Amino acid sequence: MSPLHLLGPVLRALTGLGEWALLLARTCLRACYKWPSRRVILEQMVRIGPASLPVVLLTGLFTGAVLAVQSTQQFKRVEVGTLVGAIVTLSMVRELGPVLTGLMLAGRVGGPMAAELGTMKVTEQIDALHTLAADPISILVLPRFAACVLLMPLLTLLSDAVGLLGGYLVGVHYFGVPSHFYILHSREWFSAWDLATGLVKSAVFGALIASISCSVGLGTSGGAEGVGRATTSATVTSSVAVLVSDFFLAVLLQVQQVKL
Amino acid sequence: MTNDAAHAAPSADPAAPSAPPLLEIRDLHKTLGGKHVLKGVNLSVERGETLVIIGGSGCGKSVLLKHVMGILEPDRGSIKVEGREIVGLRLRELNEVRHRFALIFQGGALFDSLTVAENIGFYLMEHERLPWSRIYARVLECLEKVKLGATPRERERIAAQMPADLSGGMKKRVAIARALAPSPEFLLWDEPTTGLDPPTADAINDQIIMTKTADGARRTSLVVTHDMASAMKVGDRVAFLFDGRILKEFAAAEIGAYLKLDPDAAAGFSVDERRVWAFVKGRADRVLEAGSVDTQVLRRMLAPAPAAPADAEA
Ligand SMILES: Nc1ncnc2c1ncn2[C@@H]1O[C@H](COP(=O)(O)OP(=O)(O)O)[C@@H](O)[C@H]1O
Ligand SMILES: [Mg+2]
Repeated sequence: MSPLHLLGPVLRALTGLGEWALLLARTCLRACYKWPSRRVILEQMVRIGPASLPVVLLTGLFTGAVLAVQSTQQFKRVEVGTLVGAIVTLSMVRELGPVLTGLMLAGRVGGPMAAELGTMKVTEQIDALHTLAADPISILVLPRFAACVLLMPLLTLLSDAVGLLGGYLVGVHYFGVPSHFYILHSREWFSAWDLATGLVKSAVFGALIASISCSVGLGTSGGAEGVGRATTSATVTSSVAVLVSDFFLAVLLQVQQVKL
Repeated sequence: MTNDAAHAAPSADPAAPSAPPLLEIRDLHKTLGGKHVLKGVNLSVERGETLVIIGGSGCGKSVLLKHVMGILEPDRGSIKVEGREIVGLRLRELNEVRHRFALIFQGGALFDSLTVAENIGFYLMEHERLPWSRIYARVLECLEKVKLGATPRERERIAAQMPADLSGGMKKRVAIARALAPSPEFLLWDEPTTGLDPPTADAINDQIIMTKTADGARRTSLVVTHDMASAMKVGDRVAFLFDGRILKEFAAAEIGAYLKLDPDAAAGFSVDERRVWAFVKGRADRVLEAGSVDTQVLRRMLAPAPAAPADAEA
């Protein structure tokens, strides 16, 4: 494969990145100029929330549980089994809660969002909005964006909660870590900062998922097949974006914490 | 084009009327997906007339209409609305044009997450601070205008439906109703009769003719189509778009005479003109053979010879 063959996909990726950045900037601008009504945002939240809640809860619960399984075995070897609560709590609240919720939302919400806007694009509904002197960003993108940004921290909180429950059940009832110590150590190691960073991260993930999915959706071409491609692309791209941005956010927030 | 000086292209008539045409397109070029779709389109539409642009599928008709609405930006050329250039306008100024124009999309482009009523009332909800009851009353009026639903009860039922539940012809009518709701001065129709059965297509033709003068206004229309019969029925003027350019324009009444030219006369034509002639002739013959409802329109045009063939050709 010659380097020239790579040029096409690279150019396409760069164009996509540019389009996404432009859409994000425009969305933020519209948000400052005119925030959508509460009813419109709520409508989107109602569409997104219940759809993603079951998967978010399930992954949260089992991730917490498996964390407890893995860490209890390791810690028992070095005679600090009671620290399991701490490790589950920290991992869940700081890292796994937000990231897994983000990944679930990317699949459960990002893909359908791109499909919806993509269908509107290929059936000329987006053009129709323009001809009616209406703004697709204010009408379609901003409410979805706001709903994802607001909903992600809520879903993350729930995921954290069931994750901690899962860890507790496995640690205490299966491995026999004394309940008192489990909770004590969890409390000792847990700080409000951890929760805050997790929630901030999750809000950023929500912004990424919504903006990427909308950008991919609005860039759809090529009929029903194009909509299929857009759906996959939105899911994959926003999942990767969640993981990549998680790294940078972790570094950034670490630096902030050291400063504090 | 001897019979209609007011409708002649300004370039052909230096002593043009003082008011600029409602729409004037000069040397419009557009390349899409690596294909040079529009290669220098020139046309003008005077206030109150109906110009039909005929062209085969894929020749850039929809692309042309999207340029007029500012959805696509040309690579080169100018689009003037009442003498004012709209290429490169900022969104706010462009929207002033969009408030006055309406495009009826080929596939309807109805918002499928909204009911029929919300579709038709969309513009009013967006731009006019009216209570829903007032908007709904306007919606029902619009449904009546496009002859959807015989009784008020039936119209209310249709208004509550989703676009997905409608037939093709009904969707088209709802799209027309949505375009009429803001009372636009200028209607752009993208293949209004394509994909409809002949009686429905003819009803849509009547609708186009009717909207010209509905509620006392004298509306301007630009219709793009590949349906000859429809073009001859609704158009005041007919222009032929081939290969990204307007090859020829007629007053609609001239086409009959043009069709009567015998092949010998056509032999002296330029290449462009011969293509137009072959196209008109081919389409007209096919319409006659198929015996569609528009046959009488064509026959009427073919019967008398109002202008000498030499005139039409000049
Ligand atoms: N967004 C686009 N990207 C690439 N090519 C396009 C696009 N829109 C239209 N085209 C091409 O331009 C040509 C004219 O399209 P169109 O105006 O839709 O034709 P029609 O005259 O049937 O309405 C077609 O060949 C089509 O493939
Ligand atoms: Mg078309």
